Amino acid sequence: MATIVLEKIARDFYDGRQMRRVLYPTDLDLKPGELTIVSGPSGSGKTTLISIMGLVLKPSEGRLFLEGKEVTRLSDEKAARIRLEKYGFVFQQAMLIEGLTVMQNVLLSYAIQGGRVSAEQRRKAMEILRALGLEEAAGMQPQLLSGGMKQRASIARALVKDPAILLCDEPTSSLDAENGQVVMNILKRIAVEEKRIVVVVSHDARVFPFADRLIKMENGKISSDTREFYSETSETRESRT
Amino acid sequence: MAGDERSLLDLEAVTVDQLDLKKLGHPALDEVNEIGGQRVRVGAITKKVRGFQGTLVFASLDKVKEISRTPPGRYSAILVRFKDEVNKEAALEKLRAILPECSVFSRAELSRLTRNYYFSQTGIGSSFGFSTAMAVLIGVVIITLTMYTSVLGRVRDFAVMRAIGGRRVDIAVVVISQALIIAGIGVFAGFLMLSTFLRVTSSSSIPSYLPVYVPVILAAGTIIISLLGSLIALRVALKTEPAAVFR
Repeated sequence: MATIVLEKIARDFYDGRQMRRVLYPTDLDLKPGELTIVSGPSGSGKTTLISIMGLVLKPSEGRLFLEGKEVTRLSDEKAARIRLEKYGFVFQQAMLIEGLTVMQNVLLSYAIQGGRVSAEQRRKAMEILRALGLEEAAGMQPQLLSGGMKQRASIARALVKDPAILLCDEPTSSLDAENGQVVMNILKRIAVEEKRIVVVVSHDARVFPFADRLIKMENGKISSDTREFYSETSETRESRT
Repeated sequence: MAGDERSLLDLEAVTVDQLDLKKLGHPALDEVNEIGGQRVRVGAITKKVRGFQGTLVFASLDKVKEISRTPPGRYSAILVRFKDEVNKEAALEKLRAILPECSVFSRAELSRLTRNYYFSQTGIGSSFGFSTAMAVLIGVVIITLTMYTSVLGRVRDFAVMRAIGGRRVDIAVVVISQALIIAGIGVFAGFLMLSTFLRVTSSSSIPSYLPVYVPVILAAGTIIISLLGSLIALRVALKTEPAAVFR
């Protein structure tokens, strides 16, 4: 069962003149079966936090564990392999690749490292599209879809490889209230019924009622968390092993 | 060929090529004309037997010497054709030994020397070389701009690909594939134009000749130009960070 543990994770950026700390040492753990929402004003460090969790950004300090294994300083290739196998991403914009059909976009993660897409994988992709109400749109170009449909297609792309972890960056920000509710219901179901780690970064208060756990950030620090840091730390892990 | 090839044996007859007829004043077959004060008759009109430079008129050796007023026993060049069973290298060596003051060349040597002469001693080489260099340069620049613009417009897509598990090598495959597709289209369009040009000029006053190895070199050159042109774009694409998707 996938878990993510952050120990004293911090991140600095060089802003052209000086190093600036955008994320202060942060302890956090995430477990499957709950929808975690990370909220906070712009510049509070929530996107940096999710980027580090998603192995797309390396922390300046601290340690990151995935399923008990340290993944803090992986090579680009290894990080890409883990992202491919264990992560699904939903971005602020749907970021579907134009020129590819919705189905081809969904199948992208199967083909991304030169793999051949099997009939079984196509069938599974179609099942997911059907579950998200996009069966009719499978052969359509992304530019022909509405904002809500695009975002659902990007969720389908994220889910097609059964990722243990789903990271979503402002998935409802470009949607109207109704489509936002639809997307959040889908994410909630994925977290609770399919027992996955689902983290949603959002500053939209309308999505808070969907949260099993709500983390608020300010000035690069966690200012409130509806659940305390409960997981094993490296010390306890070492003492156990 | 119009006329009778046996007319070449006729002392009075000369052979001209149809591509040179305009320059020669449109002489008709069997028409009697004058060259260098000598009476000649157009015995045959050939097709596509044109000299690289100037206008060639073929006649018997005696008639040519008569027209050019060459003293007896003097020749500018003699074409020797060996029988099949003759060892050509040995025969050439013997000729060199017999005629130490003459230059003796095999067909291949003469061909190479002629090409070298025109390329290095006349304006053709520099003109042709400069044109080719400019074409290559323009090709590289155009492909660089095309690829660079394309990659810039796709940076977000590359970031998505990287974020969902694509490696740098996967991005490189996409960019290089695009360059090869451009090269493929270029080769197809180029060969289409080239074949059209060859077909149109085959019966014109610009006879053209394309050795079979040239298309292969052209295709390889086009692919290399496309790959060179995609280097900057490839560098930009490979620098795309997956974290860009969250910004």
